[in-house]
Amino acid sequence: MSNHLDVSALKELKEVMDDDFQLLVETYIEDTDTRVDALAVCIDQQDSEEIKKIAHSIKGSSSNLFAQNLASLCQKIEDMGRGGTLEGVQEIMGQVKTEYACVREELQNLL
Amino acid sequence: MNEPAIESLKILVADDNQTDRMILSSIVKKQGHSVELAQDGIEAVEKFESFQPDIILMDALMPRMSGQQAARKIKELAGDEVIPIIFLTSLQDAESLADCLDSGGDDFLSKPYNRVILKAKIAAFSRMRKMHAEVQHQRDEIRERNEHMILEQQVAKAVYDNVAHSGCLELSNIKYLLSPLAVFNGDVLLAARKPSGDMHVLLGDFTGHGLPAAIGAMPLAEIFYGMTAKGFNLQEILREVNLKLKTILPVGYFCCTCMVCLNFRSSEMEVWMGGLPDFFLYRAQAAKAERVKSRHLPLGVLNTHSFNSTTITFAMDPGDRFYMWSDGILEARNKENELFGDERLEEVFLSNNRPETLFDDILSNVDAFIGNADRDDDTTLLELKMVEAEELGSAEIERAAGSITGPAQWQVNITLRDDQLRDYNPLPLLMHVVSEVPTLRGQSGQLYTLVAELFSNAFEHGVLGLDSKLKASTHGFAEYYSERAKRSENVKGYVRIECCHEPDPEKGGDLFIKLEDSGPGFDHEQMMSKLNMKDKNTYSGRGIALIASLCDKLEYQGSGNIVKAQYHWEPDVPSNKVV
Repeated sequence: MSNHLDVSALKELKEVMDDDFQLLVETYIEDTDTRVDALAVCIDQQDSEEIKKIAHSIKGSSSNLFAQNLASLCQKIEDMGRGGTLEGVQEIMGQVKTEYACVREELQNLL
Repeated sequence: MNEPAIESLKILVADDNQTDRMILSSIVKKQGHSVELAQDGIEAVEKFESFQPDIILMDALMPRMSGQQAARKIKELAGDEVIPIIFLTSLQDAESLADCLDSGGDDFLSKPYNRVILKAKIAAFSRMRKMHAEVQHQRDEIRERNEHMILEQQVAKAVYDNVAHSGCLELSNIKYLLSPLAVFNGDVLLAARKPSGDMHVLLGDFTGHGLPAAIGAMPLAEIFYGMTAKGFNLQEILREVNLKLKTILPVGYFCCTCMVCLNFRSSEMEVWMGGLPDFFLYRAQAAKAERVKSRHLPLGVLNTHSFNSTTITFAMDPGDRFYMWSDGILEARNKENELFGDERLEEVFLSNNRPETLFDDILSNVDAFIGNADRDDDTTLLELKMVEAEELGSAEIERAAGSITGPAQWQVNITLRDDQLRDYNPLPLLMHVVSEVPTLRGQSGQLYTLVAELFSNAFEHGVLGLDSKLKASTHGFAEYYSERAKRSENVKGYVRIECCHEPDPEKGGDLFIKLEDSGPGFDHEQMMSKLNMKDKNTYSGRGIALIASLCDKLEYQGSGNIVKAQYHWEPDVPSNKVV
């Protein structure tokens, strides 16, 4: 039982997607690798607008792959970006990176 | 129980996130629909136009053009068609969600996507689309039917107008208000002059509305105008109309009618009323209104045998007015839903002291009573004023082409003796006979004057022996008429009228009118020679110059007590030869 992914929901999704499931996971990982890096850069630059957009995007696709913890962390960052108060954002970004590494690994194990 | 087979729809998925597009696309394809993808708002609008999807799944936050903007654009392009847009969102705040709905979004789907919910939503919107399409189709059908019906009404109206036209409603002694489409409200208003100059007016109120009312109005108008032009009297026309309506209208359909004949020469009004509320006859001198009541059943109810055409005749003075209306006036309602009614209407007459404003007073009182409520379209009001015969001029009888009775040869003789000369006017009868010739019907005004002049010469100068020279002075004029009245009292003598028509299939025909009186005659040779020399200054009397100008040939015979006039007519269209 994973804390990072809802495995039973993912199994259902795997059924729906058939052969496309692998492509979906690969696409997710590829996109999210890029986005997590980009988010870190924006946080360094204190670019609230971009922070909000990228966090929103990671949140959306992670949610669809049933990575609920990761989605929640991104939601927090998105809210901070929207509010323009970036205090403590670095700390959450660290959690995002850790959580994503776990999600990534578990997803790859599913293939 | 089998689940109904899901109809395959075309679904557009617009999302900038590739994984989301993949997931949605897979779910929707799995449910049997075909999918098209768009990566942002601009592409979504483009794909909407090229792919023509049935339903759109749209992400809210997208680069280049947001989902809301794209939704607005698409709804605008879709026009009447309903394209459900379901927003894909993880947005939580109420304002963002409201913005999605404001922009034309129909529903939300939140992440992570639940395929069961998505399936249910797609099915629901598919049903809604179908229902909307059905409503749309029905609306179009109703609109089409309505257009068709209006077109039919316009055609029927055009045909009716050709049959009914406005007659002589424009004459100066008539005021009226009639809705342009009154025929479809069942109201009919007809007016025409008889060859004698009398005026027939008919107000009819058919039961029912729409086509049934209009159908009855056509033969009514045709009979009214046709028979009036031929000089038939009111009772004969009513009998004919009643028979026709009784024959053609279904049971329960009839025509409440008031028909009036205004005789301007005798200043009398003959009235027949059936099935209508009381009308009012306003006496200008006394400033009083008399009620005129219906005494009969409506037209089209009784068979000819039981039909009663008895009329009532009212003596009128010039300036007296007769008012008729449809129930639109009596049944006008105010805001409290009360009816205007008979008593309020009578009050308008009682409180009036300027008869010339009565017509407008009635309308303004009805309007004031109704208040803000709009007056019904089917308000018909008519005022008929008695005037001097000269005020309206002679009747111009419209010549009806296409008569099936071709020119015929006929002869009519009438001899009037003694009292008959004073009491009986032979002119309507003669004009009636003359109007059997279709072309002559169109010239009956001129013919009427010709025959009237010849007859008054024969009677007044011939039989009564009055000297026309008397009329030369004002004093003599009065003396002439008092003498005429005196001599008429015990008149002895005769006037014989002989009228014959000789048709010519090529050139129309000739009407010969011969009058012989019992008087001593006059020096007609001298008079005719003066007339031929156009020496009109020395000529006086007997109106012979006028008579000569009205006919083609004028000849006096015997001692001058016999006069023969020839009236030639030519068909103004190439005549169909009578074989």
